Amino acid sequence: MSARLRRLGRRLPRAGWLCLAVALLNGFAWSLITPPFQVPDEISHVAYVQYLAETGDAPRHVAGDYMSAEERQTLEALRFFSVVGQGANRPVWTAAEQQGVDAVDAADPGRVSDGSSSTAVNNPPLFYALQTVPYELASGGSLLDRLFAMRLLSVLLSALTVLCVFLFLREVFPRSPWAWATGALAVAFQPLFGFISTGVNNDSGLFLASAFLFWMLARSLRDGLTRRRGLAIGLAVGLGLVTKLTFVAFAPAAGLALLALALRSEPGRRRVAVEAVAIAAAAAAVPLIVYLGLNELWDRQVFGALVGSEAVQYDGRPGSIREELSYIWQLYLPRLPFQADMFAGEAFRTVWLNGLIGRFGWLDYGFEAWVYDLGFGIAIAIAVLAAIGALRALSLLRARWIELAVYGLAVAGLAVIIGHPGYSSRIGAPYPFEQARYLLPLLPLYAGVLVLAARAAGSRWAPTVGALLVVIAATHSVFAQLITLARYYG
Amino acid sequence: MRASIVGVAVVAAACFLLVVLSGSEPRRSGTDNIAPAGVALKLAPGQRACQAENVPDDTARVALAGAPAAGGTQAARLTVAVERDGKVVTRGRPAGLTADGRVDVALASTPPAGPADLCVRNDDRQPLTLLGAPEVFAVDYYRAGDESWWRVAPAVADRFELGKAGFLGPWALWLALAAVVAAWLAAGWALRGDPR
Repeated sequence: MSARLRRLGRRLPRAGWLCLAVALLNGFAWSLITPPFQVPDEISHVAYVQYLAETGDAPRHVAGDYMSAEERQTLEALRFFSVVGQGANRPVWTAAEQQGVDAVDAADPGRVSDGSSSTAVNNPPLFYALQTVPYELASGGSLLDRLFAMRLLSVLLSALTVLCVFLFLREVFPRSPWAWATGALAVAFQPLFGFISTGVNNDSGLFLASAFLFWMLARSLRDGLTRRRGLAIGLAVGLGLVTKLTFVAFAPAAGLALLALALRSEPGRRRVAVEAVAIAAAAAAVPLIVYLGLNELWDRQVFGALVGSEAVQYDGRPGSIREELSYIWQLYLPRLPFQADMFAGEAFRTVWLNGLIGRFGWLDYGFEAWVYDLGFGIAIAIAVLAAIGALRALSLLRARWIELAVYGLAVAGLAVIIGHPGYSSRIGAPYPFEQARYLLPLLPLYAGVLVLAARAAGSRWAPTVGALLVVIAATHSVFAQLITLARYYG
Repeated sequence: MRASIVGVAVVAAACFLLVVLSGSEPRRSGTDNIAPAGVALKLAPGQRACQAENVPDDTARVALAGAPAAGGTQAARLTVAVERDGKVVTRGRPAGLTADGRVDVALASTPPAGPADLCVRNDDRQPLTLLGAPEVFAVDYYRAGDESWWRVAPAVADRFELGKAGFLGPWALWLALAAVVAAWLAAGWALRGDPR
C-alpha cells in the first residue's frame, strides 16, 4: 500500500504539465516563425528523412546529389541559396514568388535522390526513422507540408526534453518544488534551444536523450539502482547513440554512475544492483548492434561514423596532440600564458556565450552588440549567485560528491567530443566547427545552475528570484523571435 | 509580494517591447537578393541600363549600391525609371543615401506591383559604377517614409504565410503570436502556487 502511495505521490505535478505546455506552445511558435530550411543543416536532415522514407535505405558515401529534385527545386523557388548566410537577403515575399513555389509542387518533381553524402550522412538513423512517420502522414501534400509535419514532431521532442528537465530538477532539489518549474521554464524559453530543437534536426532527439539520461541518473543516485532504472539508463545511452553519435560523450558518466551505484549498494541490494548494471549494458548495446547491422545492410561504413569519418575530407596541415589539448583547453577556459592564441579572443565568450545568447539562422543574424554585453553581465551575475548558492549548500553537495562527479564527467566528455572535431576543422577545413548548440545536451545542468543562483537569495526569496530569472528568459525568447521576424519578414 | 515583484518585471518587459515595436525607420518592400559584392555594370555619362525586376507592393523608393568612379560619399547623379511595355510608369532621382550607404531614389509615384524593367541612367559627367553580381545590379525596394513595426505588421503578416506549408494562411503570424502569449500565461500559472 505504501509503495502504491509513493507511486501516486510521485505522479507528475500540475507544474510539470504546465511546463510541458509552455514548451509545446513556444516551440510551435518557433516552428511557424522560422522559414523552411533556415535551421542549420535542415536541408541535409530533410534529405535524409526523404531518402529513408522513399527508399527504405539510409544515405551513404556515394557520388551524386544528396537532395531530391523536389527538394532542390523547392529550395531554389524559396530563394534559399541567396538567403542562407546572407543576413540582408529575404525569402519569398511576393505572390509572384509564391507562384514559383506552387509551380514546383504542381510539377511533382522526383522525391528520390542519389542518397549521397551530406553533412548528415554519418548520422545514425533513429531520429530520421521517427521523422518518416510525419513525412508519410503528410505525403499527399507538398514538401513544405511534410516539412511542417516533421517540425511538429521536433516540437514534441523538445517539449518532452523540458519535461525531463523538470523531473531531473525534482530529483536534485526534492525539497524545493519552486525550483522544478523555474529551471524547466528557463530551458523552455531558451531561444537557441527553441530555434534549433523545433527544426528538422537530430539535435532535438539528442537533447531529449540526454535530458532523459540525466533524469534517470539523478533518480538512481538518489533512490538507488533498480533493474528498471538500469534498463532506462541503458536505453537512454543506446538510443542516444543511435540518434547522434555525440552522445558517446555521456557514456563514461553513465558508466561511472552505474559503477558507483553498484559498489555503494547495500549488501541486501547488491545483487539487484549488479543485475541492473548488466541490464544497462545490454540495453545500451542492443541499439548499437542493430545500427551496425543496418549499416552492413545499407552498405554504409559499418564503423565509419564511430571513428569520426567526415562527410567531406579536407587537406589541412598536420596537427599534434599537444596542440589539440591546447585547443580544447582554450575552447572553454582562459588561455594560459605559455599557450599560442588559437582563437584571437576568448572562445568562451565569442563562441559559447554569445552563441547561447543568440546567433540564429545559419549563423547569419543575431542581436545588436549591446545585447551580448548585457548578456555577459547577466551571465557573470548568475555565475556569482550560483557560486554563493553552492557555498550555502556545501555540506549537501559534499554528501553528493559522487553525483557531482558524474555530472562533471558528463561535461568533460562533451567538451572533448566537441573539441576533437573542432581541432580537426581548425587545421583542415575552411570554416569553424563549433556552434553553441553543441552544448545544449547539458540543458539539465544549465537549469540546475540557474536554480542554484536563485537559492543564493535564501529560502524566503529564492522562489521570487527564480521567477525573475524565468521572466528574463521569456523576455529573451520573445526578442529572439522578434529579430527572427525582422530578419525574414521585415 | 512575489507576485508584485514579478508583475513589475513583466510590465517592464512589456514596456520595453512596446518601445522597440514603436521605433520608426525605413522598411523594405522587397529586394532582388543580389549582394553588392562586386562590380555589376559601369555606365558611361548618359548611358542607360535596364534589368527585369519584380517590383513589390507599396514600393516608394529604390536603393542602388553604386558610386561615381571617382569615389566619395555623395549620392550619384542618376535617374531611375520603372518601365512596362516600353512605357515609363514612374521615375525618380536620388534623395540621399540609405543607412547602409546605398543610393536612395525616391520615385514620383508608387508603381503597381509585378514584373517591370528597372532602368538606370547615368546623369553625371563621370562614369557610374553599379554594384551587384556580374551584369546584374543589386536593388532594394523601400516603402514610403519611416514606419514602426505596428504600421508594417499587416505587410509582415502577408509575407509570413508565403513559402510555407500550403494550409497556412494570413492568420499564421497571429497564431504564432497567440502561442507565445499562451506560453507566457501557462508559465505564470506554473510559477504561482504549489507545484505539487
